[in-house]
Amino acid sequence: MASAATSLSANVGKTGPVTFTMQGDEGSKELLITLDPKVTFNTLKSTIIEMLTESNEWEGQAARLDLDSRLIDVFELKLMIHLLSDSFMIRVEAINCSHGALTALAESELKLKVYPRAPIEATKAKNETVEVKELIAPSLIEVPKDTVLVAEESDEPIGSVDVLVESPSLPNGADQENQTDNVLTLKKSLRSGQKVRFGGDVIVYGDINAGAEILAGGNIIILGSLRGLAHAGARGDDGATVVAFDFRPTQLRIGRKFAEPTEWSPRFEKSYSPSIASVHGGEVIVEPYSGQSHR
Amino acid sequence: MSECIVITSGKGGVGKTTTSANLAVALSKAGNKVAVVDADIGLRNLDVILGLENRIVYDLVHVIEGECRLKQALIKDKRNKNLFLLPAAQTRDKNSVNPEQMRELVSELKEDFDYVIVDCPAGIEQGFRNSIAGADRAIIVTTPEVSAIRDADRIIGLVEAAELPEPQLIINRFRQKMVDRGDMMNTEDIMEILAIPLVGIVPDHEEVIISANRGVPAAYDDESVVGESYRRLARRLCGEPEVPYIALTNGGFWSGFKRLFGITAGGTA
Repeated sequence: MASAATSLSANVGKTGPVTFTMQGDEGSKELLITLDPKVTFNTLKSTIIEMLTESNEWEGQAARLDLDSRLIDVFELKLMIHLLSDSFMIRVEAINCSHGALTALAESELKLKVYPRAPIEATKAKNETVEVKELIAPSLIEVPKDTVLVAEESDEPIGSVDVLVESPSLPNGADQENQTDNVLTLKKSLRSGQKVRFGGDVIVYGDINAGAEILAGGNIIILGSLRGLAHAGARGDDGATVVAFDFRPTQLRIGRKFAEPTEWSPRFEKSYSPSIASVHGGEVIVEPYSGQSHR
Repeated sequence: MSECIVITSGKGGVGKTTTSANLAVALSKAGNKVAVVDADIGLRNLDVILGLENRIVYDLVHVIEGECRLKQALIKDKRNKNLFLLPAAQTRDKNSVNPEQMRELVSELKEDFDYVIVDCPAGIEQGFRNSIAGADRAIIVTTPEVSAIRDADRIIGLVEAAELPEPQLIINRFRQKMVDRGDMMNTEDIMEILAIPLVGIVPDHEEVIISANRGVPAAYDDESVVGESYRRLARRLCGEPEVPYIALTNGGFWSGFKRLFGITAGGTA
């Protein structure tokens, strides 16, 4: 885990396919539930039921599931999370998974090849910490605090793409460099009705057409036209930016701020001027992109 | 080798049925054996456009439910022995048919015809899924309006997701005068957004409505510019991608046939 250096851990569980470990310092304790990647979800579930029925020690505890190298099966994962919350009052707030599992999830959801931008070093990949959570701007939809939401199964019509991946949770003051691993690169345009949600930064080699949506926990960079909806800093980070070569979104959101483009988005005019949107003084400002970071 | 082409758009009222009828007429006039299938079950119109509404005995749902043979339901066109219509049922709905049944129907039609044109209903639901089921490729019809283009964009995404080859585009109801005034999107703007190859531009003209009312598609009329647009479209689809576009110049549509520079079929803007 990224926070391993700052956490105290004491093994209080059994050895077996499921291990329960308390970690973290006073004030922010977390239950780490390690799931053996070689054991089926069904076995894991019955083991969990068996172990937790014996003890209510962890009731009401915030938890993190460690999937190790297991591939993410959203449906099974959801069942597991519901089992823990409904039967044992254990609130899963995060998961640990491998970078490969994330890429596989992104590829299966997007039906595209997904290339993380930076090469992943073996040691880093091993310690990757990723949270999967509903990525909705807090300002837009109120989610009850005790509700755990994970990637929803999409019963939308074919063609809808939806990736829900959150960025590694970084302890305060952690090295921001880690963020570079968490970039989704899309080598395709998004058409109307298609949607990408990703916890980190997103780079698009193509257009975001009107009616398409892109939501990122970090920054959004579009090497093409932005005509649809873009939401950077979707977890409430007002410091995020949106950069596009051709900037005329139907709607723009940064963190908790919302902007309805007016003068910079004439429908019939070509702009072709690279622009950057960021929040200054509580307002979303769009200005020509001069190649300098505004953060 | 026979081929099934689905004519689709997402948005209603952009001219899918008119395009299907005219394309079918133009292809059959060029000597191909063509079947045109009305997949808009419950809201059939193609029979009216082709002037065949009085001859319907059996329809697509009858065929699929085994109440008649395919050959019994096919209606031969009045003017053209190469053109046949498979009408939609008017008293049923889209859910009467599933994609697997459509796939079987289309493959049966392909045994006897060079081209099978499927007129897709508006929307992205069951009717759309049925229509694309048996198709080898899709042609997207749009008008130069923001709403039609956005729906076309959505449909292109769905066609790609269904793993059909890259669809081609027809821009319908094009009005050069409005484009010149800056009141309508021009071809380049549309191509830039949709980013698929263009195969046809059809001007907006009252003769489309007149011919639809008469039940004689404009493609039968050798004098008609709209008809000529459809005939050229058919040629581009049949392996002549370089057929020039009709010039829709400042002088109106009728100032002659000139090459419209900057746009060639198969190219993207």
